[in-house]
Amino acid sequence: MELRNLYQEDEMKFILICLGLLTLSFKTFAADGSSGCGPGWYIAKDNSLLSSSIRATTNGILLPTVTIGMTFGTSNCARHSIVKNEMEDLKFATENYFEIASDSSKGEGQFVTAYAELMGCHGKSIKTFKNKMKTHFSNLFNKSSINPEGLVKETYIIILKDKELLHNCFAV
Amino acid sequence: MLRSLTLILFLSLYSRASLSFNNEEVLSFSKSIEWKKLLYYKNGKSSIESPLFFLSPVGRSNSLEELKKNLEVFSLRNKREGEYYQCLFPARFNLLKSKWPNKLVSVECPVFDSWKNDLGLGDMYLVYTSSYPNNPASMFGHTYLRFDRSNKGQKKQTKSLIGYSFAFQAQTDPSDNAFEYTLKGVTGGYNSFLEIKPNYFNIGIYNNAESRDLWEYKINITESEKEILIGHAWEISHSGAFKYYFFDENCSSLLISFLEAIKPEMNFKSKNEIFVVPQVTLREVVGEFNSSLANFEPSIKRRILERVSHFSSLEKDSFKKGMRELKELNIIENPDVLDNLVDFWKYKNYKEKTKLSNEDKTLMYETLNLRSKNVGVSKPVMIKTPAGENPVFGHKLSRVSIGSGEDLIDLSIKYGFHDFFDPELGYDNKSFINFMDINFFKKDKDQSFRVKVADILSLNQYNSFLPSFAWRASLNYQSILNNSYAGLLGAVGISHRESSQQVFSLIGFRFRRYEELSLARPVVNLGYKYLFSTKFKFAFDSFLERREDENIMTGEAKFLYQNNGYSFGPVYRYSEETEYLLQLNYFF
Repeated sequence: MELRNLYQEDEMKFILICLGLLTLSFKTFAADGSSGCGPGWYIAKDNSLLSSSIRATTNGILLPTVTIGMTFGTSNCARHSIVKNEMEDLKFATENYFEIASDSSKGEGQFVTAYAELMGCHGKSIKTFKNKMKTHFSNLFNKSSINPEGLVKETYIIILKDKELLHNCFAV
Repeated sequence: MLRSLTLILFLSLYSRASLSFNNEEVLSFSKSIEWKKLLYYKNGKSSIESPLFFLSPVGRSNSLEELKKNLEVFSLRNKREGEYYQCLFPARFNLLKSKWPNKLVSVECPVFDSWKNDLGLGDMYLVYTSSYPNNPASMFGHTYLRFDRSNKGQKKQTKSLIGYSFAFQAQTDPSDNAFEYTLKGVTGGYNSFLEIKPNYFNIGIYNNAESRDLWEYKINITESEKEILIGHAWEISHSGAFKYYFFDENCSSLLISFLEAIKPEMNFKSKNEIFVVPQVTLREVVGEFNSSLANFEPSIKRRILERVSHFSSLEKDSFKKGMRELKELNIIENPDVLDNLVDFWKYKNYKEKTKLSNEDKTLMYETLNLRSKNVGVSKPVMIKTPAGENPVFGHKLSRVSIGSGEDLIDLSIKYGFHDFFDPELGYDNKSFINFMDINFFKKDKDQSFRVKVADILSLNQYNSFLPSFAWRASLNYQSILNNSYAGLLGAVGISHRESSQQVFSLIGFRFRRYEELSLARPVVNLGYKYLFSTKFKFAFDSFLERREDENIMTGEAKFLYQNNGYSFGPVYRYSEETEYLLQLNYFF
């Protein structure tokens, strides 16, 4: 409630971000609601070549976890690796978890900059965002577990708690 | 009755639609380069394997029947699997619509439009990834297209990172062993599709996991060409499956065929080679589009080592200890050292495919945590583009050599690609791949015949921070007098390069298979190169072997004048006997 009073001028954004937080879990698991990639992909399915190749590319090297990555639909169809814009921050955080962690620890780097921009930050707020990612590193990145969903949730909370970021970053 | 009337009306419309095209025009257009390149017809048959890409049952091998069927369905509002044909094949439809504007039916394509908007394709770049000898499929480099993101991101770097890339790659099966992999790769056992993915995947795979540099060249196309490109990418990403052959239907040949589909007036010759090499197609595309280097993205290894090169000995020591010991890590306050340690863990995490040991995981996390608490500002790492390694400037890949000395003649022809003695310009000079190098030598009445079937020399720079080893593997055949054998060599060691000098030392075994005898002997391979300037150099490549009771040194030493078209100079060749000759090498 206090937060709402504090940021009355950004009430709509506040509500939207809260809604984003609430629906984050739902988004994670409902991101790819379609079934398969249409008839054109039967060759890939017959030979299990396309899917296995993408697994080899993403699971081993780039994705820290399998379950969340797969819910974006990268498992079966290149076409589906293009996600809807509103899910791009979560997809980016999932697929670049370690890169964002590295850049966040420095407070600088192309991945944390891109993450800020995907969160909708612009202008000077990008620098503020990166500083916040640095100072809140231990809250954002857990030593014992890799949790991209938690990273995005914590990022939303950081934006919520900072007047400048709330004003300049449109997170959902 | 009603059904009959409907049927008559449908047949009437159908016949009008199919009969309203001038047969001669249709026949002529079916032979046009626009139509043939958009459907990948080559020697009377399309390279695309999937039947769903063709609307006529004989469409894959009959461009006329395929055109007729396309005109027929595009004249109506027919659907396949719930989608209008016009929306399944937008590039094809727009091409035919421009030819027969009043006869084809346009429809709304909301799904395609939404996909197009999400892609947000901005400026286009052709990207070349440097050679990676540790993986046979990446030995000759790789090419793909990437696009800046036009609808997201503010900074140039972000637009590049979250933009999409288009690539053709073999969809291999990870359960295949090396033999199956090679066999399937050579015989077309793998499929290939147009793979569209965010560019950050490429940064992760090539720059970080494989430590390969990326060279980007801006390719200018018009907005209308971009529209064709997007429509065509949509239609082949849905139903276009190619057979993938490592040698001639590979990432590069498919990519230039894709570019020709967009710009049919272009005709890239390199796609018709027996072996389509990414570096050759890169040069041809860059030349045809009159483009130049737009960006160089150094590998993570290059970045780490560049920063180390500016460290004091105290900082180097601190960096080395911080990699291994938590106690030492916790006393580091220098932001440059900490930043390099953060990059080191990124490098190692990729190298280990995120499967770090628990001890390393703790070290990585503590390094990042320590850096996050350190407010110091590090000095930026400035890496100058190594202009001399720009792959566009490399020599041509085949070589013919003629040498002559006292009563001797020496002739060689090499299919490819780049060996230790070849001109350095345009190469990273740590990967040397020699393939089908055939040599004939005659002195007085003696003559020999040698074939280096394959000789791979990988000279990874050794350093104590990121140790990696140099290695060599080669297969050759030799016939001297009546004595012939097949040889196999494997050796590993260290290599170092600094400014104008390069040296390597490897130890391994050489196996020889004679007609009635097989021998395996230890061998030491030593190499050295000194560049007096870009035009003059001295180099040798020697093998020390113990045969019977004596040590035998074999090899060559050359002093060469070189440019990218030819090299010339004296050669000293040594084995049981020694020869001096003058040699001219011409690249073609």
